[in-house]
Amino acid sequence: MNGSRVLTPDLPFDMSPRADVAGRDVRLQQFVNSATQIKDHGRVNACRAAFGERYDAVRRLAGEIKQYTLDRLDVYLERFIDNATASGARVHFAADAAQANAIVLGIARDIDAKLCVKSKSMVTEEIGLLAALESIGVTTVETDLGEFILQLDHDAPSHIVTPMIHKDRTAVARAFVRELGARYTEDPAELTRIAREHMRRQFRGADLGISGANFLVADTGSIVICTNEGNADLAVSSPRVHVAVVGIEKVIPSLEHLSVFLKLLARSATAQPLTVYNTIVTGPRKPDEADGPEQLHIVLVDNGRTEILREETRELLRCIRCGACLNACPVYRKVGGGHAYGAVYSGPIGAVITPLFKGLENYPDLPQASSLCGACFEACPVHIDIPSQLIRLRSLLVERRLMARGSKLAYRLWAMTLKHAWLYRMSAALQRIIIRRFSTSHDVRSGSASAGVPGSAGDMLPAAWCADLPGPFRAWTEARDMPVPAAGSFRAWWAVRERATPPTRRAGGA
Amino acid sequence: MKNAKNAGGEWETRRSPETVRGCSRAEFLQRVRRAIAGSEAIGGDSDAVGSTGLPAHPPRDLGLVRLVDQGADRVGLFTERATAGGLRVHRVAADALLDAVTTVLDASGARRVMIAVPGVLGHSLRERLRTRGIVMIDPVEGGTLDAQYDADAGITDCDAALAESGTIIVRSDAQRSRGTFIVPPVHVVILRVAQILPDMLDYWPMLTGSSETIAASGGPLSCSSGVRGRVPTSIVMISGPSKTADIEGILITGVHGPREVYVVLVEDR
Repeated sequence: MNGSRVLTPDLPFDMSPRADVAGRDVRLQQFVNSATQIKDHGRVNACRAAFGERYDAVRRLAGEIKQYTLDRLDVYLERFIDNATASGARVHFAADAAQANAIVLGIARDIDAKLCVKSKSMVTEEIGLLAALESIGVTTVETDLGEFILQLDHDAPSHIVTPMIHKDRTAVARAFVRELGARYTEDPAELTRIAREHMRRQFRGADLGISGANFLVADTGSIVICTNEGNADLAVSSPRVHVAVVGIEKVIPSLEHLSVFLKLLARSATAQPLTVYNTIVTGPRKPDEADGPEQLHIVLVDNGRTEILREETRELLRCIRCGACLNACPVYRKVGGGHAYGAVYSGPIGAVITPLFKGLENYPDLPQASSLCGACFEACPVHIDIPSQLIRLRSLLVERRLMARGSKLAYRLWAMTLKHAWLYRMSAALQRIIIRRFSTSHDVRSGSASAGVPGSAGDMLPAAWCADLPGPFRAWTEARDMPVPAAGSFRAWWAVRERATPPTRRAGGA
Repeated sequence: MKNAKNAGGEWETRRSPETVRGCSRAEFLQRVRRAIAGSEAIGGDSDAVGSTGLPAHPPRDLGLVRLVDQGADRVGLFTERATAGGLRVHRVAADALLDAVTTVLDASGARRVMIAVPGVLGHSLRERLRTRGIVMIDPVEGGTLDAQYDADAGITDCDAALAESGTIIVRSDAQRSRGTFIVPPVHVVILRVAQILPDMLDYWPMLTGSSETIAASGGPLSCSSGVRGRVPTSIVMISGPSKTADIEGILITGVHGPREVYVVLVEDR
């Protein structure tokens, strides 16, 4: 699949074709399953080991700090802008993706940039900055190893933190042979060494370094960048101009508060006590310093964030992009990772913020791509109630009549049926007859022999499954099996049980 | 815009008007205010606004995230956790410091070295290495950073270290180039035992020179006055060698930054 279209599909986006393909890809399922489960267990252990019983209070605290800041975002943004400007940085303001790209391209032209080294940043993915830079002739190199490999292989990231979770070493080996002229090897250490040598030449020659930021510190005007590879440190020390592209929700009040987030981010993302490099940059290099950029530009990006800042959805902007909810999510695993979500942000958090960023009418499937099991809420280090936000979007789907006509009709019938006892009885009887008739399984119990026997719980469990219902119901059984109902109804079973149990015992046992 | 090639302090004036394509600060902040005001008013907000007109910070006790207490065995914990993170800790007596550094450099075969250690220690370090025939690299040799990329090792001092996570904190300033700890394949950092702090919460007051912290007082932190200008251009908290697990989750060190980081931990005199 062409990488550039994976995360920017035709709209409205239909999730099911991608989910179907992924569902049949056994190897993909294995990568994503094992990677996410290892990371999920790692997170649980790391958080428990560090905070023990306090963990829940700690993530509530982190959520409260962010919420407090977001409630007064204008004030904290101003404070950040003033302090960053005082430190010598130049702050720019982008209302949307087009403005953000225009600002960065303007800077690139001003300095006559030829080669740009970029560290990993979700917001630059979101605004499509790399393609924009390439379009004006600035060669741009992704320097995070995972992103670098994806760029070489014309593929798109499938995870917020570990972008090539969907690829194995053979894909890397082939890409390196094809694009770098390297000798074929599947040894990860050797592949990493090849990438290092290649990228060192880029860092050395680059005139522009682009990064995102994990946090903006209002009190000091600092930007904070977290990487394990150290690529951001190279990208912001060698080139003579550094541009940081950052979403407005990244502001936190002070350096003291940074402690809370750095401790949580590393444990939630990769089960480390701290990320290997936590870099706090305050202004461009001073005149007497040997290296570091002469210019530091900070591009503050809105691009839909002020929409999400409205009170009902504000908590979503607490997100620190740790990826813990992706690793915890059974649906993310089952659909083979991020590509099935058709957008830059995937997994549970993506299922909520993508429709808010891009329009619910463009991504009507995403709020449904959840079993509402709550694993994401439990994993979130800033205590975002993702399930409630998903339910809120589902109600909006109904309100705005964005559901498929078939589902709409089905839900209306269902509601009507539940309101009338006689309709319910009748439809249950019809279902029993129809589904049993179309059952593909030979294991369906014949009925009378066991169905009416009281006290046998096994009779309540489906004895067989139906995989192929006819007509309009086929849509349901295409994606999942339908349990074949027991021959007798619960009501009938209950009536028999009532008659069989002596009245005195019933009264006493109640 | 060819005249931008000497870009320095005054680059701003050379920006061509057509390159300013964002929106204004006022317009940008207005969007934020509209979004916040469009929602219900926040209860008690006026109480939280201090005399400066700025809100006080969330009045919470950050002590909740403290992982190592003041009384704990800082040195033991630091050594244990730094080692777990992949740092190689060598504890030496104060008078054995220079020997320890040369031993580490010899072991890694380093012949060309960048040094970001100011003061007397930096001077004696250079003297010693020169007698051993080691070449000292200037971070901006010939006006470019190219020489950095030929260095075999970088030697730095550090600001502080954290016992909680086995972390060293390196700053960059006039006497400490940024490239020293990230460009060469080997980083040697000199740390004094007294510099090891229990927890990250203990570092900020040291950095900003403010005695009042949220963690200590539980109250609001005064606004940025006194902080600005004191924060170095770059502070990096380093908790291991450069690492990646992007290929099938297999941990590889030295992907971009150094693959070996040696901590020479010096006993107090």
